[in-house]
Amino acid sequence: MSSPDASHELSPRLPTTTRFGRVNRDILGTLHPGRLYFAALALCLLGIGWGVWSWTQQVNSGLAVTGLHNPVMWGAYITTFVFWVGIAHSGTLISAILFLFRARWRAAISRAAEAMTVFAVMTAGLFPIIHLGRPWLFYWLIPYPNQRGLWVNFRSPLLWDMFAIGTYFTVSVLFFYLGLVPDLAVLRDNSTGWKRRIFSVVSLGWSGSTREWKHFNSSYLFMAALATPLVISVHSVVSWDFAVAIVPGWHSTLFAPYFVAGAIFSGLGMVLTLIIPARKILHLEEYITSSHLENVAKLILFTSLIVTYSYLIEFFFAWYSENPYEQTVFMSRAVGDYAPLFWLMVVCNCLAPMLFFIPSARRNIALLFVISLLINVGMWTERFVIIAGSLARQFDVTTWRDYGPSWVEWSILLGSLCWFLFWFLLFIRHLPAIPIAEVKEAMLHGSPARNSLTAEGQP
Amino acid sequence: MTGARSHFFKLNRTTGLLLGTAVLGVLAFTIGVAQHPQQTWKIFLVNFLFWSGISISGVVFSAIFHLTKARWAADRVRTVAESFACFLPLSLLLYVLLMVVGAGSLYPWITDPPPARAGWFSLPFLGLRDGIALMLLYGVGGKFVLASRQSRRESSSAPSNLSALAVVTILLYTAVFSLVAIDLVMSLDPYWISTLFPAYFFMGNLCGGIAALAAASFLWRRLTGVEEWFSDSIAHDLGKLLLGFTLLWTYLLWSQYLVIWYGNLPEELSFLMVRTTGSWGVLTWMVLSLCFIIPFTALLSRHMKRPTPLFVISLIMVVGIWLERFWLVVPSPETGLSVSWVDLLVTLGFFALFVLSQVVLGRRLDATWDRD
Repeated sequence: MSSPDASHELSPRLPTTTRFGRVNRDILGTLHPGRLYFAALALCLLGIGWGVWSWTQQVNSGLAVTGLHNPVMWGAYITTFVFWVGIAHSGTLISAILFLFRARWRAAISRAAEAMTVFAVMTAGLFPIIHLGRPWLFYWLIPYPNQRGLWVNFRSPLLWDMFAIGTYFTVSVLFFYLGLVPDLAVLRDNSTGWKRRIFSVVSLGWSGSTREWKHFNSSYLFMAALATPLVISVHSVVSWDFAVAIVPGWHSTLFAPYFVAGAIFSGLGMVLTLIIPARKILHLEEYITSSHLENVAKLILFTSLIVTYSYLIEFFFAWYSENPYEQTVFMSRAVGDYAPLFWLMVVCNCLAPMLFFIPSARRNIALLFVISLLINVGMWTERFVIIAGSLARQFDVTTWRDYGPSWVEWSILLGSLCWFLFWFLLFIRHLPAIPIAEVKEAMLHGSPARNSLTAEGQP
Repeated sequence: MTGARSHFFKLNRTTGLLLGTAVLGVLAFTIGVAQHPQQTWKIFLVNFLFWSGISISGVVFSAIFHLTKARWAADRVRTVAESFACFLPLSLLLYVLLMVVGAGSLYPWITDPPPARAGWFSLPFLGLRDGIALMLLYGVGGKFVLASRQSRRESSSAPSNLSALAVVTILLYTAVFSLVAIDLVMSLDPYWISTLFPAYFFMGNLCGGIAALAAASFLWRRLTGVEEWFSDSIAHDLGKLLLGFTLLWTYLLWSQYLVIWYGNLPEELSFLMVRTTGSWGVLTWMVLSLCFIIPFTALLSRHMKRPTPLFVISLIMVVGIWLERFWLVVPSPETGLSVSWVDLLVTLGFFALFVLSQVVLGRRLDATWDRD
């Protein structure tokens, strides 16, 4: 069952019911946690605990325990916030945008990507709160008539963030859940006892009738159309946190599309990072084939090219603008104090993905995995260079100050990574990691593997 | 299919009419240059950018459809899109004319270059680098079109380098049209900057291109009487793409507007100030209506994505993108919005040249096609 190129085993020669039965068995077969799984969960909980403890240190002593000092008041937390929001983009891209584009190969990886989206937003949402001096007052951001006599400042992009992220989280959860309903019904039918009771509640009494499918399909289409502009808007708003300020290195009209492309890029990197080990461990090689991964690699290449274009344009306009402050920031990136980080990000985000121009590189799973890790590193570094690097080199030389995260910040970052993985681990053993219904549908239309194997050449 | 197509190209009376319009355009242009050189060259630049943009975006769309394996567009839509490429040789000639004769009356940096960037703004350097860039792009794009046509011919397999050509065409397009945006459009005000502008400019081309593609497909259907050129399902898909592109165009415009407005820096604001005050403000609203408000609201409905309504909407978009190019090039604080008969005739002349290039060159290509 688990030989990597066994996609022909699900070939149309077998009677449909047999094949469908196998799909149920294979995918539900992933839902039996072993000892290793619990060990991993425990490790994650340990990491979360360490992060929470570090955070209590920060709450006790104030932000002085971080490396943040004037003028670099935005550092690792905001960087990580942007990083996780970015990661959250690929899920909706794969489920909504590729769905609208009728790219049927997306089915196999859509569930994992959507789950990742939800967890990434949950992680991202922590950071603005962690970054607050008095985190318990975070609800002041919510505009409602109150006795405090306070009203939020709608001209502040931070507030736009609040709405953008809130909306995005709501829609991604709904979207994730909507796609899950038919599979929850499969789980219900295959379980007993209290589990069955839970699944029958959350599957909303799904029976799989034609009428239900009709409504399901139209609501899925509707949600996809709603979610698509959100993918673009959320990271645009995040980029405006920076771009509307007139800080050199931040104030750039290019930022919105550049951040969106970067977000999708990093999200796809994370999809590969999570899916490549998962398909191995869960024996899903037949469903997530190397041609699915190849398609993700192509999307990575595409978004990487947009990001590269943006880097080049930014440098060009720094020179073209004749603005000495702008030029100083970009020089500090290219040859100054931030050069090591800058060139690291160029290698990870621009050069490494170029390998995907070579078809055999896109089919080399180990290479895909390595590059996906590089992308994760590169995109975090990119945001760090943009955010902290620009603040550290503002107008007046006497205010320049370098910034490095303190151990508290690193601990909290580690904790957030564990928090994200913790949720992902819970997901992968309790819900089907691959949409059962969509895989079956794709089989009816010709097997998903075949669909993407027509690949080379023919239009 | 071939028979139907030759029928389309045998419309001799139309060819004569087009030729007449083109000649009229040339005459009006000559008179205009003699009387108001700056205004006339500006309208020339607008039309050069618009028609070259449509032309190359036909090629780019074909390349995109090939790379994304868009089966709905595999044959008919790509044939129409690639036919736009026939204007490319003419576009190169017009570029030479623009640089050799027109640049002096168009660009302020020729007499008064920004001191720190005088080298970048020297006419020979600028003219040559853009000329070479355009030649390269048109060359590769043309090669792609020929290879792609060959791949669609019966009983012949796709040339092996088709995908590579498609990738190079798209990459070159973004690079070259960024350069064109910076050198031919932004340099009208050499101190204005907006980092998104080059990307906005080449995406605007594609927006006009997809609208022109829908409009042209409709005409092919009407002229050949073959429904498949613009079947209901093709119209629906093109309609959806058009909806996407008008949203994208608006997004890219808004991204620039918001950042510039919020930042409120003089070197960025100049562009907005000119275009939001006086009669230019009216033009701005016209552009917004034609490129976004009307097509967006209309295309939300599935009924408007049927062939005939879609044709009307795509014409509105085409006019909208033309006006948008006008809006980028022409406004200046010294004058108000005015349209002369020279502007209209020159534009009509360009239109005639564009269609003629398709008829003449398209027929030659089809002749070789038939011989094979």
